[in-house]
Amino acid sequence: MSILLPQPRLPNKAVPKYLDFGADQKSAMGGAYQRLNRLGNRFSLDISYPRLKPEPDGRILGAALRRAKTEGALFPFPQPGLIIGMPGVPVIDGAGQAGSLTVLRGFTPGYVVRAGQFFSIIHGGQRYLHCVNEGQDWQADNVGRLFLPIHPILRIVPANGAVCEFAQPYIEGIVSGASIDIELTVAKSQMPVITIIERA
Amino acid sequence: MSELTPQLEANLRGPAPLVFGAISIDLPDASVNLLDGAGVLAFGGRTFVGKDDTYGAISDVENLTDGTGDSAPAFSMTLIPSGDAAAAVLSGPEMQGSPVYVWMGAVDKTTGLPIPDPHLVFIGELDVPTLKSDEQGRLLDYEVVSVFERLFEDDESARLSDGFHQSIFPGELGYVFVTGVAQEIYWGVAGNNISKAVTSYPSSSYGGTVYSRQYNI
Repeated sequence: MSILLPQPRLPNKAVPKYLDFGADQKSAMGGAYQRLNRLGNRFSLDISYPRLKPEPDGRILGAALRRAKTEGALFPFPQPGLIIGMPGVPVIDGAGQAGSLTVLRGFTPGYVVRAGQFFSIIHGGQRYLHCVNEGQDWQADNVGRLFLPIHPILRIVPANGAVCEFAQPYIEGIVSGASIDIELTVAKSQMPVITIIERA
Repeated sequence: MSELTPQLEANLRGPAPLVFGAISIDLPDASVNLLDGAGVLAFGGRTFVGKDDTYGAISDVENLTDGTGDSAPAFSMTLIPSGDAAAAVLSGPEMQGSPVYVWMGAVDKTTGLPIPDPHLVFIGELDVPTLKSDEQGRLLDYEVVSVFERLFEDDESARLSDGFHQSIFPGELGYVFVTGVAQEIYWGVAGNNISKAVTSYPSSSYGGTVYSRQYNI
């Protein structure tokens, strides 16, 4: 079970990364470049904190981070400036969905999902982060149903009724790095850059 | 490229195809169907996953190479076992000889379905498992050889004796009291009923179709 990392204050920097397993096949002598995509593209997130007060912030976050190294980490995915509003209780509508077009139900009727808005799908107790495609905003119909084009393509086949977290999406995954180094200096604790990589 | 279906060929010719590799290992107790990336794809009556909860995931796959001289087509692949039990099962001796299938294909990005039909590249058998544990990991290397490997069996152990005869035809007592055989009978001549001891493999572009004899020793 992943450990929810506390936020004693907002990180001063967060870098969402889109991990690409495809390849840009480049011809060394001026030939055409080709793009090859592979399955499994997903997200990671780098989180940088400023120096924290050692008591209690540094102590508590340090403990959570050490446990997250072995158990996995859960962190609210930041979307600064985005007014999310009241999405309702969106869930996957219909079993057997795959690819990059999802059908959801349970939105607040008329709720508008913004282009580029993130959400996480809970499947098998694990969260999978996805992003709504660019181009246009999408409005739920009067029964709260919505077709959403998303990226990256679904890496799982979510069950009918799988919860989709729009109000607060989370990234869940392993904490990168071979050790957890917390630097204690005079009256401050410096956390390492926390990198959370989605497992699948 | 003529061995691919027109749909697959057209998709691969597009500007940005989404390709995948898939491996099936039919272990004696279970079938392990794995994709090279994270995802779920169903084709050919199998459902392929990026990570099998029981057995683990593919780490990497070596180049498929043809064999020349006295070596059969072979490749090695590395699995990441999902746990101690998976590592023990996968490296067990009874896994040797399990059929291995390798496909390549492309995925429709919108529907998430494989473009019909993924191409079966290789059929072979598990040969030697090697479990490697080190400081930062535990990996399982598998050597996979084509069924052509069976052609190198020189049958040196085949003997016209009661013990060997019954190892292939259990309960057939024709040689029980024979201590010296006057007339030699050669293996594989017409009339020998060896159907139970033969495994046939469907054809692939790499492995070919070969019938191999399995000694039930």
